[in-house]
Amino acid sequence: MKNHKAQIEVSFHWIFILIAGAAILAFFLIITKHEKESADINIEGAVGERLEALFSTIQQMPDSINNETLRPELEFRCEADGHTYTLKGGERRFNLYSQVIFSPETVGDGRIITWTKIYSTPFPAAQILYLSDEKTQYIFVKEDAENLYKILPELYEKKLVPAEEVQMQTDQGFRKYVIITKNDVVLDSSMTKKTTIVKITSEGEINFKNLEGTATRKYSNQETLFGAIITGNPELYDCAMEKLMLVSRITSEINLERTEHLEDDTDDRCYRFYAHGIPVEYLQSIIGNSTYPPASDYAPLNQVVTSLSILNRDMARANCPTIY
Amino acid sequence: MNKKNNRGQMETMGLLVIVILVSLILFFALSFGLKNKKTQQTEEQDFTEVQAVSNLGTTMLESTGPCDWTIRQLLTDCAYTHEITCLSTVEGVGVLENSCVAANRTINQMLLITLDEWGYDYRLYVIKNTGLPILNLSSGCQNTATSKTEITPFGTQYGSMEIKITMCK
Amino acid sequence: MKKPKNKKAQVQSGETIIVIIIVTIMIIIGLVIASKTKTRNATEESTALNEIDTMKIALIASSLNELKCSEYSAMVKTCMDYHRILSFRDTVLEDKQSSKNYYYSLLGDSEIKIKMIMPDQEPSVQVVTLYKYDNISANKSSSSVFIPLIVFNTMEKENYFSVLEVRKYS
Repeated sequence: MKNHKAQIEVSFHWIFILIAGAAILAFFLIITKHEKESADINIEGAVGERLEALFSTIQQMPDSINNETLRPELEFRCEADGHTYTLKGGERRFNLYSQVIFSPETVGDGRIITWTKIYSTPFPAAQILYLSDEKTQYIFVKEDAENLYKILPELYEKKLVPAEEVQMQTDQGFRKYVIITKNDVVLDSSMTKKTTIVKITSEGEINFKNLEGTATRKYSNQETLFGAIITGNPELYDCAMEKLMLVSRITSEINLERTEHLEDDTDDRCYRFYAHGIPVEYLQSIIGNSTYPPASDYAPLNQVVTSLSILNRDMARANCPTIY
Repeated sequence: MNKKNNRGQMETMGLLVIVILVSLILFFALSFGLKNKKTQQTEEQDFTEVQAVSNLGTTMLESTGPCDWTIRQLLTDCAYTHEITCLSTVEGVGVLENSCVAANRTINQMLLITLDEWGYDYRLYVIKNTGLPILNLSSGCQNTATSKTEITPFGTQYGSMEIKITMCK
Repeated sequence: MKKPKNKKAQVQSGETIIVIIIVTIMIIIGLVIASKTKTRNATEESTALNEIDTMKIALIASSLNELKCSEYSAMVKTCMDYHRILSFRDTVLEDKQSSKNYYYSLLGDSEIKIKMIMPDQEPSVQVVTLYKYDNISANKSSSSVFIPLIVFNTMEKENYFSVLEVRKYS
């Protein structure tokens, strides 16, 4: 009897220990899982905030080129709810409401390159950020786009090849290839899946060609042409161009109001520049033609931009208050 | 029986020792953890101070004062030539001022909407090349331990000058 | 003979119970301290983030092309054009070209003012509110950044000493 009682007692001790141990283990596992989920959300938020700050502040440094390492991959999309990006594998979407960013679909997991330029009409209207990475290669056809190759900063992965060598290009392990040319090209089979051909069909018009098909788009000047080259994606190009044109219209509207004030207050010596409402007309034309997509092309916009630029130069030479 | 009692007492003592040890460890861990929270200035205050002090001197110099003279011109005249006389409008009344008075009044106005409004005490000197201050404005900067000084040198055709601003809280 | 055995068992059970109670109390105290520390850290982090946000908005506001001086005028690091300031204010106020939404996405829940000293004028200090987000209430906390700059009047050819005040609400 005593032995049985002792045996039961010992068994109960072990059962008690096992239950307590299991409860403590389960408790700590739950805590760890909760903390990990919380940490993941925090990381996603922190990376997103940092990128937003990076995009905003880099855009304030015109004509600057930078590179830095970005471990997570960003996936850019242009959809009904706007121009957004997500961290790969993450759920949170960050909206690029006001930043004019031209980028390929995926950027990151390595060295990213940022290049900022001012879009002018002819006054500085908006800041453009060209964002890419070391895993996207830009192949310029020598006979068609050598000048563009020379302008694109060295930090980008770029290559200049003669036309006859384009079809000999094979996959070197990049995530994406963008080929810039003025003519049709034939590609090696290893390249077709990852390549977009940006064909400059005429002054102001480009074709994006990839496995999904061909899309024709308009560009207004060299800055927007580089936008098309950097994205290599017609939808992302559309999103960025719409924002660019919106910002351009807003800046032009502000300049228009300013010009109307100057017109009212200017002295007799400088009034000749404002006679017949010419500067106001130019600015209204810039606003009207800064749309995306344009009515036909951007030739009317470029014409009035040149005219305004000449007028402004003459005003400066005459020591009169300038339009911009 | 005595041996059993002793054993029981020893076990209780052991338990007490463990509890005391764990409490001490917790106490030290918490106190070290909380100790490193020094009183730091916020990032915003650092940024505002840097922006304010670094920009203030240059911005003042390039500003237009009374009678369309820039502060730079007024200070140069005050230091070297004493030729400028200006009919300024002060509170709706026309007042004849020399360059030193005009510069002093205008710089005072600038400090009112900047350092005074931001709650900083300051000392501002405008010093000519001989080292003599031609202008001295102060709001009682007593505590020099927590002060920041910015010197803005500027050149004139008569010699170099500088604006020295010391901010303290 | 039975009594000493019962007493010993009672003391042993009592000991176990006391250990469990003490450990539980220590765990509870630990959890309470940890959660309070976490809450305090989160509040501090939120305040710091808000301040960084304010600085970011201040940098953006002071670099806006829409407000900058023309290329042929005053060569000061941070210079804004007087007439552009007034036009900007009117454009946003009247929501021309859907500018209100655009600037909200850029400047957020903030208020941006410029205070200018205009010499030989009465009043000598003019304040222009460039941008103000709609739902400002007295109860909201805010943080401010101030940036001295020049505002150039292209008609009078005067440089006004000015201060850009950026106030971000949270």
